Amino acid sequence: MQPEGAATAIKVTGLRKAYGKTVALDGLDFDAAPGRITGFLGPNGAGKTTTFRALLGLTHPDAGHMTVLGMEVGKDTPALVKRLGAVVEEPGLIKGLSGRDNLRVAAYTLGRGWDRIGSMLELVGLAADGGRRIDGYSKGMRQRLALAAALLGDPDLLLLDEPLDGLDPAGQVQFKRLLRELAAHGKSVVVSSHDLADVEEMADDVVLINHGKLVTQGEMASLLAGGGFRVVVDDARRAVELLNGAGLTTRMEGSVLMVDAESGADISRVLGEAGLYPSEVAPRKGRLEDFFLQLTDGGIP
Amino acid sequence: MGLVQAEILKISKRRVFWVMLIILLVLTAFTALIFLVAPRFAEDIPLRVEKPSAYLIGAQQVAGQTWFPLILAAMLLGGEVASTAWASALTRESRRARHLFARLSVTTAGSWLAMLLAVGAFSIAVAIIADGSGTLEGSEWFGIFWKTGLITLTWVAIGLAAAAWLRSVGPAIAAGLAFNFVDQLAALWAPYRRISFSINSAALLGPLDVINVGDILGDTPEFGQALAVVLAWTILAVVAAWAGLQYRDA
Repeated sequence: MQPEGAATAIKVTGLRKAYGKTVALDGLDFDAAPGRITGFLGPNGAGKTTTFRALLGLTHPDAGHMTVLGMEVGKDTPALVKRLGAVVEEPGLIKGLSGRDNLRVAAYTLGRGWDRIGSMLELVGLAADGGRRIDGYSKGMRQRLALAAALLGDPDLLLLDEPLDGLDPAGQVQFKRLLRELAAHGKSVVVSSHDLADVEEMADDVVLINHGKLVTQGEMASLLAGGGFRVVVDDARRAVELLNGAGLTTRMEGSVLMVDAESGADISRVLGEAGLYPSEVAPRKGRLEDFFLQLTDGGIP
Repeated sequence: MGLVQAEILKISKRRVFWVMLIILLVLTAFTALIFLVAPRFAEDIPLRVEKPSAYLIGAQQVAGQTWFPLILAAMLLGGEVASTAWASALTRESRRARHLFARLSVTTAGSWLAMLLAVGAFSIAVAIIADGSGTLEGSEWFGIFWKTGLITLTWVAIGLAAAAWLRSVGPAIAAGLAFNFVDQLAALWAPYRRISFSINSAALLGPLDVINVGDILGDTPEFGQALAVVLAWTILAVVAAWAGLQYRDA
């Protein structure tokens, strides 16, 4: 559970990090709310992994201020990391050890979690392979083991960098369900992913960064609400004539009619008065991919 | 304590330690063959040794296997810092000095045990094969015990420092071996000889002229000076390892 008084799970202000002449983070500001899943997005090189590494104390930022779970990164890092679970970049596992021994090493290092090793292996579907050396694991198995290690200490906040990489479809579904359950139990999750459809499905909130700066952040639903309505009607050509005649702007997106209007009732009324009854009038919802491309000049996530 | 337990688990469950231990024992057996058996059949081999000095020579030869602690330390830490394993470890315990202490203590203990095992094996061979009589005094055995430990600690620290800075196993091992080579070569120059780690660590275990190399290398450092120099190298290596882990991004 979140600590009392922590209004945000993460609060980052003016974060800056340069590697030589390359500026990875350029005054980044963002918040992540507690008890929610936040999708952390940006094109390649936007600074996502650097941000995660800074939050975990793995890299020393040049400037800026970060608080996580109400604690200051840097000053409180030793206590803070005990309440975090993280997978950054590739799964950080010890070669030559079995999956179970990797979790034992993680538990010893963390100082707790021994009693959860068996249940975590079961949770990620590796109970039968726990005794095998990880050198023989597939990429997906290693990813799942890294997730088990991240969850070992029952963390209040999960920082997951591309957690779905290497997981098969069934594993992805299971994992997304798991994240939802964790959020339902008050845990905070910040997740970056190349797959925008996955983030759209999983996340409550979105933080979008580019060139080391915040582009936008907010609730997924409100960010994707593009305005206008999606109308499904048998005679679309006639509907366009009627709606245009009523002063409403229309356009066809494939076989679907899109209408800019103040309310769906206006559309239903105009069409109904002419004896044309739409089978669906729904607020138009944009796709995260469109939103992402629009705000990042077509950057690759 | 948890970090120490994690290191014990890693060193005991990975094959690298056991494979290196077997190699060390094979090399020790080969050394015993050269010093104790070969001279009986080849009169021109000048390495004939007798009890009790043969025990000390065995300890010197084993302690001279500096590759063992160096490579073990470089492989254990280098393998982690070259991958994301080190970063993952820091997401569970962020105090890097604690990680260093755990790695230093467990890798030294493991290497030390391996060295003592090899000294023991050579000593058994001496007891059975070598001519002469008598054994070392208890204080001399104790001296071999702690001096081997100190030298092992230094080489582990050198291996950790190289891995911490170079972030890769191969270059870290190469750097450690290069240091060993240059340190020995530079010892031919009298001013450096006084601070050479190789010369002073060998002198710590006993006079070098027992195997007639004193004339080649010059005077053997006094015990007090040898101890001070070895301690100084140990501290330098530990500080270098700490700095490499503390100030570089994971």
